[in-house]
Amino acid sequence: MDTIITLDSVTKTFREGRKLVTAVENISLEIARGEFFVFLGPSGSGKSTILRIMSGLEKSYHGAVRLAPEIDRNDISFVFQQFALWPWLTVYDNIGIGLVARHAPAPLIRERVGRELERFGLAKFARSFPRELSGGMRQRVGIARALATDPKIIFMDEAFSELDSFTAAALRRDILEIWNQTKPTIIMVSHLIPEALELADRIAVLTVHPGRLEKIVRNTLPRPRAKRSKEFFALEDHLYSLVSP
Amino acid sequence: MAAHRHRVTIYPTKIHLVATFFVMLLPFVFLIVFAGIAHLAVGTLFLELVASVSRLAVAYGIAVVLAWIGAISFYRGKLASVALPVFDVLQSFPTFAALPIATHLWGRSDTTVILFLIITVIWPIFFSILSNVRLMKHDWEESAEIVGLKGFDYLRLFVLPVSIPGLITGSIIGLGEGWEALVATEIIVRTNTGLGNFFQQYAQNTPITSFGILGLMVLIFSINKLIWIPLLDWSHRLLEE
Repeated sequence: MDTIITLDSVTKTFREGRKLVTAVENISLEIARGEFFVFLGPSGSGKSTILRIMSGLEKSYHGAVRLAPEIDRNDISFVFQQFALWPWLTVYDNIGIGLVARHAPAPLIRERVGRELERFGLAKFARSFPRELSGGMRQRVGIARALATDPKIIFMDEAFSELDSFTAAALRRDILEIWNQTKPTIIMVSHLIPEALELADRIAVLTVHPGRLEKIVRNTLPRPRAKRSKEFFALEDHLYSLVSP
Repeated sequence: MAAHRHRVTIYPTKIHLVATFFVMLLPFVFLIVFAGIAHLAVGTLFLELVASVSRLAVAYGIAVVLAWIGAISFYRGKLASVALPVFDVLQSFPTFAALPIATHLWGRSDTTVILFLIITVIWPIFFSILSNVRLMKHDWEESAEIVGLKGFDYLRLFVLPVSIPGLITGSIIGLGEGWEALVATEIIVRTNTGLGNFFQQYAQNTPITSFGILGLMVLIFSINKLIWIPLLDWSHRLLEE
């Protein structure tokens, strides 16, 4: 496997009053370059914690996270559950902020931001502020911001859970299309089995309190995935039995 | 980026903007009327006002810079848990008690008045910015980290906008206290110029001092209503999601 990221015995504990709570315990796995990988588990399984550790947002943990040698922090981006857009910047500036941080030349910023605005149907809203947009539009901006830097790894923390089901479905289609075109590695967290099955190449099922790796399930269903097929339902049942044994 | 940033209207209508400019002229109008009533030379009175306002402006400018640097340096981390109680004690210190020492050290000078004003104005601004940045959304900070904003860019594009509402709120409170302290300090320090000096000179003339105090109140109220309140509204809209 052409590994892009490796987790080696990753454990995260934190103090809650006098108690020491283990959020995730002894997680070891490898994720391949260009893979769509989903961490699946209920609340309390530590899936967001793992994502934060892998993306570098959480720095205090035991074990090791190793990135492929050519990957640095500039190759990583993150889509937040609650969008995390900056309200004082316009849509245009929110999308371009990663490029500004990298001191990209102005023509490149214009080109990339323009590309993302077009891709997500946001061109008319370039000068709007996030508060003027619907939830779905805001998450489009969040995803566009993540993609504008052409990252090699994209982390997505329950990126569709704040949206209505129609908007979430449309955005899942958009993400799959982008992934098909450019093949970045996408590492996503979800608590929805059908969502994980629709998107992922492999699904890591996590247990609750503490979050341990129960099993990694390979999803070989052909794309685009027929969500009403017998195979889809069978795999869904299998995952359901793993998540709630 | 610059072409798209901060398109937030401070003044809702043109009339509002014109009124604000009119307020800027109010001190001069007030001076002419006041000088006429008191049979004073407009130039003398103007110089007194300029002396006071410049002291307050210099003190405010220094206080804003120091308060902002202090607030963003101490808003989180281990140092903050030690430093913040110390700052809290310092801000409770009765500043007028230090005035005799300051006068002894620097004499009846602008330095004494300005230093005293800085101490008065700085705390509300410091604590307002501090509470603002301490309460900012964690997601915003994490997205700043993920996009890789660092150094001056981080301060300019992230910390500064987040701290603006605190800066405005703190400025309103700080300058309110500053105006009060300005006149009192000028009287106590016995400066040769300034409104304090003027009020002291005419202390026995009740109509002139009453008119002076009323005029000052109208001026401060107008500045607050037409400059600070719109700025405050704007600053809150800036962080509105």
